[in-house]
Amino acid sequence: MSRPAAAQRWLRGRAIAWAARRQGVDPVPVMLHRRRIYILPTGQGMLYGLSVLAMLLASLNYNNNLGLLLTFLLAGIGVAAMYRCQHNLAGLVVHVQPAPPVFAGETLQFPVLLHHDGGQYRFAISGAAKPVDVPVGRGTIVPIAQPTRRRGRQPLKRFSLSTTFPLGLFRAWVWIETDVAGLAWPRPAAMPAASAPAPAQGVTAGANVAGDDDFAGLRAWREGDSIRHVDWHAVARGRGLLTKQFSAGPPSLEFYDLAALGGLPIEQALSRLARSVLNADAAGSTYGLRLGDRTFGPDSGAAHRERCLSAMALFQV
Amino acid sequence: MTAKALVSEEIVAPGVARQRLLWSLAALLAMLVPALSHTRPWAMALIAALIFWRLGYAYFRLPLPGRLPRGVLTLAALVAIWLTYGTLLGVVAGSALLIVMAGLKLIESHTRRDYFLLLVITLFIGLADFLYAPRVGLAAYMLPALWLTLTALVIVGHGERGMAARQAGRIAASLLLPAVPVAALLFFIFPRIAGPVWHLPSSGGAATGIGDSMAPGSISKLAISSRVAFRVHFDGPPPAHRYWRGPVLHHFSHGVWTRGNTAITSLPQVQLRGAPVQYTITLEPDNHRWLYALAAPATWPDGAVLADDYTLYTEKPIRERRQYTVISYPRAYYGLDLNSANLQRDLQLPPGGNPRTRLLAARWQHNLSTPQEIIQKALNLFRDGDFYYTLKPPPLGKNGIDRFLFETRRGFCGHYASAFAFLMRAAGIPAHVVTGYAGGERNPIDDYWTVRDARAHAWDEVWLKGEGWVRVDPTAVLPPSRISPDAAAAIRAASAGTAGNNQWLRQFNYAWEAANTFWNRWVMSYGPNLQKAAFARLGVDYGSWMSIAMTMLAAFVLIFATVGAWFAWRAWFNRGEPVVRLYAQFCRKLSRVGLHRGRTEGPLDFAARIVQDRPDCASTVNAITGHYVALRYEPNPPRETLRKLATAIANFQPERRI
Repeated sequence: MSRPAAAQRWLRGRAIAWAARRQGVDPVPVMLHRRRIYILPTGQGMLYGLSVLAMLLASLNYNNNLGLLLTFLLAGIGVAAMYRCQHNLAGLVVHVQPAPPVFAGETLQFPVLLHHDGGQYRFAISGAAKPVDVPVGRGTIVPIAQPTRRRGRQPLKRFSLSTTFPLGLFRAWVWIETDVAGLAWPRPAAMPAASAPAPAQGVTAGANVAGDDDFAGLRAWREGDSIRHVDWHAVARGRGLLTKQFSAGPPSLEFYDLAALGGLPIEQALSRLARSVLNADAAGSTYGLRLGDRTFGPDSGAAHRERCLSAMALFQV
Repeated sequence: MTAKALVSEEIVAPGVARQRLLWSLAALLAMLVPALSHTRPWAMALIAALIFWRLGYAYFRLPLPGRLPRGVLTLAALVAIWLTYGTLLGVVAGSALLIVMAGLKLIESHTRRDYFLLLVITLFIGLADFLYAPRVGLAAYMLPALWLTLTALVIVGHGERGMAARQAGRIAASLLLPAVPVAALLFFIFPRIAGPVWHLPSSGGAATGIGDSMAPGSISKLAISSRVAFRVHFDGPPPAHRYWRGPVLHHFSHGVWTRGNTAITSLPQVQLRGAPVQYTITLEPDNHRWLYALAAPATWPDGAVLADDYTLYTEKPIRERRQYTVISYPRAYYGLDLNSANLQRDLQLPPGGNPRTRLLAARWQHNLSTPQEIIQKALNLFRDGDFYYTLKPPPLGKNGIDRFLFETRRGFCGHYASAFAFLMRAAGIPAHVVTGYAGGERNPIDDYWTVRDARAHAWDEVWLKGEGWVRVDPTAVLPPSRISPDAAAAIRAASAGTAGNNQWLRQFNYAWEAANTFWNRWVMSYGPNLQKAAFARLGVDYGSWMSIAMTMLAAFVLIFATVGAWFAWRAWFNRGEPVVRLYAQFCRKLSRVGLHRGRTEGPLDFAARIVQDRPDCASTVNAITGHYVALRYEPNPPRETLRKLATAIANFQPERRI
């Protein structure tokens, strides 16, 4: 790494540490007050500043008052752009939702809902990916991605929201650190586990296809879910984003035990169990899970599958 | 360009890319229009070609030049500017350079950053327009042009998604509006320095107005020019005769009057007489050194020098508009104490030539006893001798004064002043030609007098014992019937600007002139002296470093505070759409009876809490909350829900519980 890059990284680390000391960990939702918004000129902003300076010198040199007026007008526009940039973030309310669980190695997507109770239309706010607009009175979701490596609870690391609106001369940003976490399930083994206990009753009667027939419950919102299925009443109650689930299909029965895989290291054993649970669930079977002295099921359906996977994610970590 | 920028920019939709291009082009064209007056046609043709090329790429996939042809084009353009202007610096060459750079930037503009650079260059072109011709009309034009450029900057800054032009225009206005008072404040307080910091090629062109010599024909060119030479404001009633004295010409040879190079050693004395006249002149730059003034100036501005012939001049040519105040005594005697040695230069005549004129003068000198009689005799000759005033006199050639006096008898002020001075000198009376302006047109709107080039005039001064220099205007004795119609019409048209006889146009002209005068007096002339005077009026000595530093500091605090307050107010003012405002009103009503909503409490939670605490309000609160939640969170709430919410909240009067 080159020296300037190292220096920049060091400076950034110091700045983040300082901001963390100043702000601490925020309870959700976070209201973006002006005092926690940081702002610095961008490269374009520096160029703009230098240009205004050059115009000032030229106007002074020619004793040209009209040139001076133009220069001062541009300086004023720069100041206005700075405040406008800050106000583009100020007053936003950030609801950080727990990310839907993923398998270890996949990327958690924390849906961060931005909204504001009034104020102006907010333009081009960047989280991790593309910038989004936040219209008045309507929430907008910015997914914050966080890759995972191991199973278990995955606290959302500090992330930033930033904007260079309106002219790209300044970048205003906030650092947000909350106690919200996601969950990484054990990574399922590559192949169906041959040594896994055979299903007690292996009749499959069609895949359990998520459909629109019957209301089957709620689950956490994931990217890609139809916005029509979001339970807005739950949002209003502060329960976070939940998707209404609808399903159809009859159940069947299977049973899995961690103790039966006693010879394997725990992570491998959990991987195999995860694979088994997934296979059984995909087959629409009714199945149960035993982890040490805890038993789940027998049962079927998405909720049961997730209960099993979550228990495995948190088992002995 | 980094790989990352490439990736993020390549996904720009064609519509957005064209929107960016068109708005940036519109801004560029707006700034180019005023540059037409000071840019060579080849540079304009080049940028026009590059613009069409870029448009061809955007609409018809016409291939753009690669890096090498662009480099060659850049180099060729630089060489062309060097060859055309002889420099790359200064306003005119610099402006051409900027225009060429803008064109070359345009054909390689694809990313947000490219367009940003292009728009910065555009702003510089606007600055060059101002530096070249700081006019009130241009300033009025520049404000919308700046707005357009800002709109383009907002659109470009918004990245790959583009933005509706109306919205971008509104945002640009919201940035421009608070910048106006900031600019005004900075303009007032920013410390001005006298004179240029370093010398660059001058922004002005050739010298205009009255030169330092008078050859046949030199003034007739001015007589048909409507250029404003200067504007005058009298503090008090204007004097009856308004002869604005410019360069005084002492030396005559080969038909040409020049200032000569003999100066007298001591400044002649003035004997003040009569009432003083105080006036302020705003002189347009003409690249000469004269400061025009009425006869016998008694006080004059700093930086001006009083010459031995009672004219004022500056040390350097006047390249910027200049304002100065003079007090003159029109009836003062000046040059009373001149002795025969000092008067020699105003008796000078070339050794030979014009024999008939010399003979006539010698006869007068012999036959008449006093100089006054000789002067009267000469004036009678012009008045009664069939002399005509015309702007197109026949050519004179050698012995021009003989030919004019005895043969052609047609000429304009220069001919009469020249012939009169020659006659006087030949008759032994010290005389010289004075050039300058006579008269002026009063603007009834602001009481400023406009003096145009059409008013350029030449007259004489003769020296009389006991009176000093006395003004004689030989042209003035011609009866109006002998002024040729074409000269009269030309002078009338030029002296009234372009208005002619149209009453409305004339009124408009007066108003425009008044705006110009106001602008020149209060904006354009605001320099080190006016700034010091303005601060002195506020009780601040704006000369010390300390006072400048403190004022600038205070200004910066003030600027940041006001712009910050402006945006805070805006945020407060636009604190919500109707639904949000109505709900806030509902919450205020509840607050008044002691039910406060938590900062992050959801509306349904809040409603549930109220229903528990205050069952008496339950139905109304539930209804209002239901409407509100529907309006905020349902995709397509029925239209009448908003009206229902408004009515319900308006009628909601929770009772204070005892």
